[in-house]
Amino acid sequence: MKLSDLSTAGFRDRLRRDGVFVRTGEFVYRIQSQVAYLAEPFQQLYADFQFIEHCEFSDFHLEVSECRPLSEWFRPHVTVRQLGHFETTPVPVDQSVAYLEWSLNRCVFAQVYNRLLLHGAVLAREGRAVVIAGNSGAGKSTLAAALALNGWRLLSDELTVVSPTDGSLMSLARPVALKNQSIELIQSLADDAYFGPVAVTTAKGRVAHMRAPVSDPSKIAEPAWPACFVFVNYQAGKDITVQEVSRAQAFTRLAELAGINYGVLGELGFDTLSRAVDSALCLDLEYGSLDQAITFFDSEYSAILGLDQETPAVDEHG
Amino acid sequence: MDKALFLRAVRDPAHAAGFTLPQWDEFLPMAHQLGMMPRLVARLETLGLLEPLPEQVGTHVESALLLGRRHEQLVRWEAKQLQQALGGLGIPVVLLKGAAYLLSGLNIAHGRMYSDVDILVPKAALADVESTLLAHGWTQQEETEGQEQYYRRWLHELLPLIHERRRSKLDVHHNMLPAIDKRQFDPALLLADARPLEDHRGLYVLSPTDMVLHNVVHLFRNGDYRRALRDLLDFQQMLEQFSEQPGFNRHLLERAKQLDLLTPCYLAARYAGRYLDAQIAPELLQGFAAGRPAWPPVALLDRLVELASFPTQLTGSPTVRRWALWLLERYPLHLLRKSIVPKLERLGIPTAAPRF
Amino acid sequence: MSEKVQAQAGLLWRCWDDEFVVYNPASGDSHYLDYLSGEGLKGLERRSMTVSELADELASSCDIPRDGKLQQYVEQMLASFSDLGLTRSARS
Repeated sequence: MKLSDLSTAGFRDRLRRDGVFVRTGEFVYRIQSQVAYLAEPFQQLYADFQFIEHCEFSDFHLEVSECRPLSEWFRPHVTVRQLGHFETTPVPVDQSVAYLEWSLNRCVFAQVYNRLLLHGAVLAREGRAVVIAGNSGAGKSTLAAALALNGWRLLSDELTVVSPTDGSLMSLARPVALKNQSIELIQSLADDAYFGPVAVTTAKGRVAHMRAPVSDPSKIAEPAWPACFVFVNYQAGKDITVQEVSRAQAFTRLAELAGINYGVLGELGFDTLSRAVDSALCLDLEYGSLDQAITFFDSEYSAILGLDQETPAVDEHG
Repeated sequence: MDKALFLRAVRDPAHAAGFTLPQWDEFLPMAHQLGMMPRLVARLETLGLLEPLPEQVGTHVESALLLGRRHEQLVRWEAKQLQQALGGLGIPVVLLKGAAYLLSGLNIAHGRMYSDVDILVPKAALADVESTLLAHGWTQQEETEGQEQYYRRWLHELLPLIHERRRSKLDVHHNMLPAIDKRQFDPALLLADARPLEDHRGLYVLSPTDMVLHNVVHLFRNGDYRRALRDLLDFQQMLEQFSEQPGFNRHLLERAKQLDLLTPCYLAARYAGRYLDAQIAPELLQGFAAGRPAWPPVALLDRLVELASFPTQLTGSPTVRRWALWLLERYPLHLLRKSIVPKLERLGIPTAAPRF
Repeated sequence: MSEKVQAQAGLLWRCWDDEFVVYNPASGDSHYLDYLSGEGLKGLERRSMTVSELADELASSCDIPRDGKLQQYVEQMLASFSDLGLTRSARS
């Protein structure tokens, strides 16, 4: 049974009382809320997720609650609180989806130290993954969404989780966060994808979430192994350029993108990251149009890695 | 999960090893809120009790272990950098609190979290220390907090220094009490009795008695209750470890009297006894009793300390805890009377607490 | 700078082509090193050296001219190694 199989009223009711359990990768979130506004978009964004009647243990407990009373003079405000950890400042209720999504990521970034975490999107074909890394605003999510709509399996949008044990990347399949013009751009590519409400935030401009496209539900939780690290940089109007990045440089950039989590893992982090980079292609990708970027991944890139072909994978570095 | 069960696991982590999954579900957010997971897990590791824990809590247990180790690594490294920077000045540089516990090998350092490193130096050397640190990559933070906050909190220390590259925070103290506290004692007394660290030439730690006293001062005179349960555990376990030294209890009492610190000692013993079932030597309890504050009523204090120290899941809303923390921090005991009671009553908080 | 320095014990290395990353177990930090710096630090792992000795060794092993420029480069390199805690004085 999936979350979409619940009636809207039933979903709202669960959210209000026991909470809704969301299992994504190895993590279980329990989300409770009295905020009626949240129920519909939340259920839609997580429609393909398994319905869990009850879970004895959740990794992260979140509560979205309306706050009183001053802010209500103007329009309803909510806060997102993780039990025992943090509470966001009050935001207008139409931003509750965006802040909840942001909080779900924050839980992992702030409390999971036994995995290597990178800021990046993960997409895979045939179990081999591209990690799209880059600073905020570099066009990671836009490219990830476009690839996901073009037959690539989306494992994750903001959060790349690498297992130190076997180097695999965790499949979270959570919604993709799109910002500003990317919202309309991706909407124009996908007629049937679900988009949550557009929130106008002061920090990041307009934000909307797209439900992760799932072509094969049986593979939703399957991990993948890194085949390529791409550092993207969107430059409006520019032609696509692709350049190889040395592994030591890629290592250094990824360690920086990993933040404190990398340091906490210590030797294990060094080992995990160097093994990941060791077997992967590392690229700088500058693109000005999504079409060009998608064409690159579907043709040249796939040829290099031998995807969808009879020939075995070719390692460029021999 | 009730208070008793929570506290049992806090004082003796072996109890947590027997938790069911639903109990972990409730316990983890509470332990996290007080920053106690790394310490609890470090203890379970020492006891060899990590294996039997349910698989589902694995992420949190492993993360807490790694986090504890990383903090230890960072503080050891920072101490080394401090030694290299300040070692040439020829003055005692006394590590305080967590860093001191770690480098003098106390049990309470296992799984400890550090937000900064604190040092105490002679006031006369303050300018030298500051310029030397600035020359070695530490930088001054811009003053961002209000003037009042500044005077209240920072006057017994420099504004925190941040190392430019490592981003580590260093608090340089020249006194143990904020300047605003009227009952001062001469910090030279502490420096005179400080003990050199064998592996770190030039670095010192407070003597065992002063270490205990600093712990209680931090909680009950400086009014930082955010980690009150941890500090009370430290108090209890330091007493346990130090009282093996002959004459320790007698020295502690004498020193507490000399420095006029019987009241914080009394309160620490009171709450360590109530919350953690600490078995404190009768001679100490008798001696500390002279420090029982006449005002505010101890019953009121009991209530406030509980609200400030316990996870909000056990006591009420986060707002109430924030409020209790604010009050305890802002109003040192001797100032409580004028400001507190009217506010309490206005907010409908009972001023007489139920028995715990 | 006639003091002999040696590399911190227990460094972990990864080498790709002509570049290195190194992990310092004492600080927990990782660092990127170009070819010359990597060879320099590896040299200091084998034995302790002064600036001049290291410059001599790099000149011969990497086949570069042993001139004032190299001396200056090695001086700066050792200063940043020491700053990062990758090396320590050989006396202590």
